[in-house]
Amino acid sequence: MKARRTWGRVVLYLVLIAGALFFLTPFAWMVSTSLKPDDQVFLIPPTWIPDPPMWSNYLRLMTEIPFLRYFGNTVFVTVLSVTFYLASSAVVAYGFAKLRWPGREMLFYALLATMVLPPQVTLIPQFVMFQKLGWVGTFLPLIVPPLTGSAFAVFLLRQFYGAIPNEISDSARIDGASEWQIFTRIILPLARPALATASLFIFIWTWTDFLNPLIYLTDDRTYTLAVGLQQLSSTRAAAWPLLMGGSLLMSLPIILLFFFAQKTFIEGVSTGGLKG
Amino acid sequence: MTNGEHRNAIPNDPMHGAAGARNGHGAEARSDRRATRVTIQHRRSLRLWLTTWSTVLGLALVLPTTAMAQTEITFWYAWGGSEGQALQALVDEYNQGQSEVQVRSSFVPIGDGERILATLAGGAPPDLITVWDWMVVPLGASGALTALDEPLAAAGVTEADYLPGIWTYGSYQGVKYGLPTTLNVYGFMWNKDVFAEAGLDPEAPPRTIAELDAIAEQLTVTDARGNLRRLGFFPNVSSIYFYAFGGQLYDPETLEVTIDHPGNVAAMEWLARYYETYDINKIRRFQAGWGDLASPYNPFYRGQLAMQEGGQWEVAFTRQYAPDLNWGVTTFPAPEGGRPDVAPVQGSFWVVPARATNQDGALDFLTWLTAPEQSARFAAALANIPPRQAALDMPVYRETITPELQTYIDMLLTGYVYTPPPLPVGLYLSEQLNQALAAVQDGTASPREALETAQRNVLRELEKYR
Amino acid sequence: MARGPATAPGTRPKMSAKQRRELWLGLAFVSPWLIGFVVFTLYPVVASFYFSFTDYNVVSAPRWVGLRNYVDLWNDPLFAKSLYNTLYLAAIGIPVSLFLSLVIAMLLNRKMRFQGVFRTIYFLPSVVPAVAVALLWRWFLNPDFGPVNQMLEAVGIAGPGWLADPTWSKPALVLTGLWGVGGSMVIYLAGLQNVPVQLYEAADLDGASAWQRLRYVTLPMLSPVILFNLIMGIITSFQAFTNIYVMTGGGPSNSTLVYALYLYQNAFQFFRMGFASAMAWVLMVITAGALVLIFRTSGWVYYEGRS
Repeated sequence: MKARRTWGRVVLYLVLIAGALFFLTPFAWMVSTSLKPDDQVFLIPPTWIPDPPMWSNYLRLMTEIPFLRYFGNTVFVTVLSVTFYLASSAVVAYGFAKLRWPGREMLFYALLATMVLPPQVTLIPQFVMFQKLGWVGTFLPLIVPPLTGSAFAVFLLRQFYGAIPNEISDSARIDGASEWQIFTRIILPLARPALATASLFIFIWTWTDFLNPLIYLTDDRTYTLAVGLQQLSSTRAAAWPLLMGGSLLMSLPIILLFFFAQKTFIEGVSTGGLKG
Repeated sequence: MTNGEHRNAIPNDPMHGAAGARNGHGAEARSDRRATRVTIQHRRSLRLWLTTWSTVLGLALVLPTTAMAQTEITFWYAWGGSEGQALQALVDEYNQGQSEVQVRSSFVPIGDGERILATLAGGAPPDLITVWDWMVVPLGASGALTALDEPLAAAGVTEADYLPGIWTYGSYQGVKYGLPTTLNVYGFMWNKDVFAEAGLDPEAPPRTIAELDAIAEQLTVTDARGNLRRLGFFPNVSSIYFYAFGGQLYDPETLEVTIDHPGNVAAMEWLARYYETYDINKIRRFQAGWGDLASPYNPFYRGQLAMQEGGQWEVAFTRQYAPDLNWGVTTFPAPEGGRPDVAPVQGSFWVVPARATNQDGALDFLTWLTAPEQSARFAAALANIPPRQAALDMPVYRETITPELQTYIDMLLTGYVYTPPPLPVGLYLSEQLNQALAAVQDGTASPREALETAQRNVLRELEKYR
Repeated sequence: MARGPATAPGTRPKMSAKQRRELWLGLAFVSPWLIGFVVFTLYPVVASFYFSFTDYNVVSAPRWVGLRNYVDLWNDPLFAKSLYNTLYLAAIGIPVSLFLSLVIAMLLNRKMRFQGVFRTIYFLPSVVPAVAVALLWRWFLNPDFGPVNQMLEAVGIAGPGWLADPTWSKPALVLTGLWGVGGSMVIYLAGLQNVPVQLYEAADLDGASAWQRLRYVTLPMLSPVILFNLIMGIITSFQAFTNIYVMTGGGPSNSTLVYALYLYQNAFQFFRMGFASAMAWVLMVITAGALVLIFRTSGWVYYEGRS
């Protein structure tokens, strides 16, 4: 019996490791390309060890564009967006998941519908609207709408809230707790994995968003990284090593966040985290 | 050189004046309290205070007048890397050379124009924008751009100043809406080493279509499994052959669209035979393995493609990526009775939005930017060709000219120059050509049918603009 | 003044105080989104609907043409082709992705060494830029020397042209979606944390097999999250085009021209924003229909704490 279990685990590890090697390929290529001299980027089949490793690429990255300024702008926009999106979506999702009221399903479908319309056709009217408000050229179009929630996050949180049993909240309600208290004291702590997951995705989108910063940030001192990195390339030759180096630096916060926050957000829910 | 550094060079920053005044007051207050050292410090601080205050007053008097004499125009350009730096250097030179018009430039990736369209729709556009050529006529025809005929005439610029055939590039119904920044021209390139190796005269490229077909076949190599190892030639930019075969996409006199011109159909039939002979799927398979064009693994540099259509930038590219390559460039082969000197031209444009706030400043800068000296410098930095005759003779450009580049220039000067049709449909027309090509490649339509469909679609689209 | 259920015929029953309170509470919680919807979303959405009945090139005023755009859509072979391509990719890609990401999530949910490292690695491709991913797949799937075909050669199969072949380009795109499972995987992982241990313990007590545990405990408890991934999968696959555009540009021969790409071309490259808006609203209707269908048949979703 034990032998079968052990074999099972061995196979599991082998499969996971094989898969991991496959899944590591893009990232490994990104790292390796960031250190390549320009002419080694497109060897087919690709080489993995740059020869010689051009650490100076990172120096060029920092000096050819105002990398740190763009990084700072990106941090500013993203941190504010994520905070606002999360705070408002958490509240809105509660209304859709835990409260009964007439018109709820209809509004929820409307919410989903807002995700369905391709953004290309709302881009121009939305821009004109912000132009009339005088917000174009500032960070406002990027950080104020998040105060009204993200359909994606609301949907995600609504599903998770819906999976949280009502016993505790029901008894709290009987004891006279207000809905807001139930929301903040009971549901939110239990929804930590979902909140963290939602923040992760919102973080990634905002951090890598190209189009919205492109059209709303007119002053190139306020550009975010996604836009600013474009300045490294000439029209005919993309500056691959620098672009990959920049993308690597851009993705590092996300990766570190994901790796170290796992303890916080994927594990440790009091109604029973599951292992094995 | 970034914009941050540039901005520090602007004199008369009111911020510095205010800070200086604050420091002056503080020194005086402190010295008042120290009675023992009143006399000396009082005098010193008084002097300091007076100096600071008069500076501030002086600035306050001077500032408004300088501010009034100064127009700041916003300029969007789309070049990054070394190309962007070259343009920025020009902008800085302009700013430093005079103080009436100051240019505030920023790098703006054009992409497919989302930002440009949005800003034009929004009503507060910048004063000078860089756009792709296919955007000029749609925007101009809609009234979003300022006509440039008068400013050009006022600056004394006429058709003779521009390279032949370029004066109407960027015009719609006789009105110029944009000025070309620099020009690209395609030529027919061949790999002399591959020719020599196969026993062909490396100095004798094909001059007729028949010769091209024969040499292409001779130089095409397949392996045991029937997959391509080297392709003699692959016609990619179909419009080149439309013109070479005597056809045209539009009538330059009447400006009517003529996609189904008999010359075009003949060219398409030749292309169809090509795709069939070499099996388009095998070609695509082969192409999948080609390296990046801006690298040593460019298929032409590696001998995987013996002959190709290549623009003048190949002069700089080969120097950088394939210095040992022996290659030549000449005019495109043509059939009997066709045009043996076709020169396809493309470029990007500078345009002034009609609702820009600083029209005069923008036009002033634009006139300077497109003057021969600046044009020559910018074209040299981009490995492109300047659109002005005089720029070709400028030393800064002259020194970049190699025999191959001279061939490209000669093609522009003496060949049959054609540019994309000046229509308000943007990339719709070229996409219809792609669709026609795809239909022919798939065998779902005959060349004539495919072109007639494209013609119908474009005409129907043009109806919207009447 | 008690309000009872009995009312005069022809009038709507008045809401009770309790119902009014609940409505007020519900709207209060939902108000941030509601306000945002009215202020930021409503105008652009209504505008795009209006544009779909016009000829509009963005820089000129729109000109009313009634249903002409919709008629043109109906007659446009590229519209049909792009819709087919998109539905094909969705029909195959979504189930594959849902299944695979669930399997990986369940595997990575077990206690093991380097659990965090594995999870991060499987998530990594989601943070790599699309251009890099495209380049790598073009190499992986290269007909002549890509690893995939070389492996097929080793077992005696002649590998197809993959991205370079019109018949194989869509299956190739499904393959390239493999690296995208990290996102759904993370969501599943979060969902798996919510499955109470007590249920598993009870199942074990009842002598349930691994398969029965999966079917009667894990999947039902995960069903809200499965529904989420399914719906988000549909929405994103109908709108995705950047990755595909970078990899194939819509070719060869329109075989990978997806709906969103064709829409984008019309909106910005062809100056046919009216036509593109019509395309957008057709998509809206189709997706809405699909979503309604899914929700109507979502009886299999089990919410432990449903109101």
